[in-house]
Amino acid sequence: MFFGFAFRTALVLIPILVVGITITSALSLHKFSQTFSTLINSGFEFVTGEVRNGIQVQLDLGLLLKNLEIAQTLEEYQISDNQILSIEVFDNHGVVLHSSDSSSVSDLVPEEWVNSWRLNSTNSSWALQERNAGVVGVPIKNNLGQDVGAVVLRYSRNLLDQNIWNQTRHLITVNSIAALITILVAFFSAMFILSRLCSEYRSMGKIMDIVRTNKKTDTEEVQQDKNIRTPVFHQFISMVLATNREMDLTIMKARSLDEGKEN
Amino acid sequence: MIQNSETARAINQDRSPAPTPQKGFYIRLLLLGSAIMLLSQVIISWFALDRFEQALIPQLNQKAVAVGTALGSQITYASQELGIPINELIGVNDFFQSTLDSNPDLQYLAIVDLNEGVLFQYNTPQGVINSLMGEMQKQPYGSQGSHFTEEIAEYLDSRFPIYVNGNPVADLHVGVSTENIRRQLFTIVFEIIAVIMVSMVVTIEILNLFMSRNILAPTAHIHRVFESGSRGKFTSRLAMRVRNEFGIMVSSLNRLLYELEQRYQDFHFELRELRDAQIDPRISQKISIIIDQTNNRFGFSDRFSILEKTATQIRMPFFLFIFSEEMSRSFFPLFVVGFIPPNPALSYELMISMPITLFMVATFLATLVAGKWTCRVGCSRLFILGIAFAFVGYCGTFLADSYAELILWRCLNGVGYGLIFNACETWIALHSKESNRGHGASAYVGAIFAGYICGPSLGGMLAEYVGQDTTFLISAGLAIVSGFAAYRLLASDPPFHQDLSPSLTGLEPWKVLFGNSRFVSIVFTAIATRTTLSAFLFFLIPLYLNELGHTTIEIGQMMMLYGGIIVIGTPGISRLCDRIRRYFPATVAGAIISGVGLLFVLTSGLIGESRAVLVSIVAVGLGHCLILAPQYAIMQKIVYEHREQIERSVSISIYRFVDRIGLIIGPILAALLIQTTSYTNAIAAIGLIVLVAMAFSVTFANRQRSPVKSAVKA
Repeated sequence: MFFGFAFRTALVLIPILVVGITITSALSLHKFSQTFSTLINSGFEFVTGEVRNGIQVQLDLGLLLKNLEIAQTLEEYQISDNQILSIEVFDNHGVVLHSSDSSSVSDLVPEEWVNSWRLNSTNSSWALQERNAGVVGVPIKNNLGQDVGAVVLRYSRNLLDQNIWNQTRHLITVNSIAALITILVAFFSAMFILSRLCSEYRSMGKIMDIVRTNKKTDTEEVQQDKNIRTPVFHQFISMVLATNREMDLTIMKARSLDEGKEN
Repeated sequence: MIQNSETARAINQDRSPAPTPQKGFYIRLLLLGSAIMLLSQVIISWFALDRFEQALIPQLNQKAVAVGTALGSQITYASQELGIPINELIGVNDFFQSTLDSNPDLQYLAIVDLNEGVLFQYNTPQGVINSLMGEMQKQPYGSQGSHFTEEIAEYLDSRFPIYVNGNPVADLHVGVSTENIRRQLFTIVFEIIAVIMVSMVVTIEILNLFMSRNILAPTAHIHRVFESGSRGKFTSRLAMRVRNEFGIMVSSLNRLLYELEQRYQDFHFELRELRDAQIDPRISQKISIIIDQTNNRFGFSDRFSILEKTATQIRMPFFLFIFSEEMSRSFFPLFVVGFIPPNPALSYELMISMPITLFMVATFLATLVAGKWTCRVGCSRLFILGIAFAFVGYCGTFLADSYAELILWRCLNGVGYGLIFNACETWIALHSKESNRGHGASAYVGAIFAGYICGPSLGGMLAEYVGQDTTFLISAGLAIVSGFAAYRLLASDPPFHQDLSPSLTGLEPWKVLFGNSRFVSIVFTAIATRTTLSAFLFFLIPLYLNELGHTTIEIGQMMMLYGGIIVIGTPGISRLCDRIRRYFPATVAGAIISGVGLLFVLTSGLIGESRAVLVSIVAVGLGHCLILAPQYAIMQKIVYEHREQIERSVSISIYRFVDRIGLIIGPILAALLIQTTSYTNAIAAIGLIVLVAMAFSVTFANRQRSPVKSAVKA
């Protein structure tokens, strides 16, 4: 199958453009997910901060973390926002002391939560992403400034996932159209740029075939082709024609000598 | 048949890039590819960011609602339960201030009363205050527990009515700025710029390869066939089978030359027949003269010439390899930190530097043996062997569990690195000519720094998104692609033998080279350049910028600047140096710029630490831009001068060997410096070392010139 030179060259541009557009799209989407997640976390950080402030006021009054009566407050916060899955308060051993879901009290929280809490004890909050939920935590300090536990809020990832999916669909649609247009523009522009080069090659081939089959072609005839902008080609063709002529003349001269017509 | 093999050889030997009209098409195509890539990425990113902003605004408002509800209930509690009239509350502004400080995405907070106007506010712009009053007049209070959001100027304002004992007393306003979202999303612009740059470099590299293989090299060859033919020497045809316009033209050319040669043979045969059949010796002699004249006038051969390999052919595989290696550059010292055992044998800083140093040592040792291997197995096989080492090294680094394992795998990487560098340098030395040595060197240096552009920035992003260890796995994949490219482009490159058997072996080549003051001079510059590279760019930059709070993405982007400057500057500098033949002054200027640039970091107190580092990176980039290609050209010249005594590959190995010393001492030096002083002082100390090395280099170069001047005077 014959694929023109311009076609082949233009084809090279396509994978490069597709890869470039794909990487940019993936990066954009990742940034969106990061920003969206930061915004959600920021909202829930405020809620957990409020819960923590209430707890710390009671700790300042001398109450122990495990003796606080905050289950109802936690439940109210959970009910007020349907994205909130649970709000839990755990101690420095990772044991749940209070929870909006009373069945989880006394359970151990995942090790990852405890590690994050310990690693971020100096920060105002920390966040994790689990398979089905996002987690936002704030440390609780007693009136001596010691870390005694943390408030952790788990929220549904549905909103985040739904938004990311919507953006992905939109990006795929828009970028596919953009990629298609870009590829077509690149392809045809490359074809256009190279078409002159290809026609020059075709003309060169054609002239060489004419010269080969008709050895007595007039030089003027082959010099007139406007497609050819390579001066050395014209010189080459002139020399080929001159060689043919010279061979004709020389052989005629030799024959004349041989026949004694010339001395 | 007339065989003029000398002319045929001359055609093949003249491999300097001929200025053909096709070069114009090549440049236009490069510009087209780059422009379309740039435009498409900008448009796509703009659409995406605009859409993202629309999706993020409701979420930002959600936060305002959460804050407004909580603050509203606290104010209601104070007024209703504690009985304090709302306009007599104390410390509300301070409370608002602390709330805004801990929630920087909120813009303002205000309590507005229908009769008394703004009771309390913090950070509310005057224009918004006027609008709030106007809105209050139009729509006094909403129902209890409700909230209402509207756009005021560039802010989203949420109103929360405050009810005391069932009566509305004021409105709490929480304002958020959409500018915050824009600012957060804007950080992606730098990442997209980095992706655009990487895409453009890759586009240029691929087009470069495609065009030079399919257009530039064949047309330059055809051009030489035409030129030779136009002088009456039809000595060469082109062996090429391509089913496109170019291939068809080449077939026409070959057929024309074949028929012309056939005709010439018939013509000659007839002349000889006429001469031999002639009984008159006078006429026979005349015909003999005609035969001799035609022999001198025309040259024919049925030789098919093939397109010879060029120096630039190694550029693509080499670029891909450097790309894979540079992927970890922006985070490698930070990656090592995770492997340092709790009670390290050496100081913490030295432990970080060790994997980098030992990598360089492995490279150094591989360079030692690579010189001989290159002769035995050829450049292409050595390159592929290097890729095999690198691939195993990357996979091992991905799987490494301990500090010792990490060092082992990195050493394997180092061996691969050394072999590949040697293969490339030998390839370029073998396929460059005296007239285009600088051009060949720029292909080599250009590939390295195109890798420096793409690797750190993309690697930094990948490390942030997929993890630092997984980035090594991606490097392994890229190394395989590089090996495949080398196999396709460099294959059939046989083991080579020097035309002349060099007489020197053992330590003799070392003595000869070090007896050459110009060699010693460039060794000083080379070691200083390499020390700057490994100490400053590879070691101190990631650690220092990380300490300043920059992410691996930002570190990668800053490091990318270095490669960018080199890629843009090197070809121009190398061409200029080739034209004016002033290689050494360029290296001196480069050393001064990079040395002073490193000292510039001391101004961090004036312009900021990150900016000072950025200026140093740019200065080092500019300096190295002036040093690298000329330094390589000087080295190639020295290698050429000593070719009769020392095998070229051996000379290159010796140069590489001493040059690597800079890479080895760099990280250790940097580690020792930061153990005793600050990062800025450590960087400045490296700058001083560069300047001192440059002074030594100039001294040795002058020692070479002095005897020459004396000889001229004599």
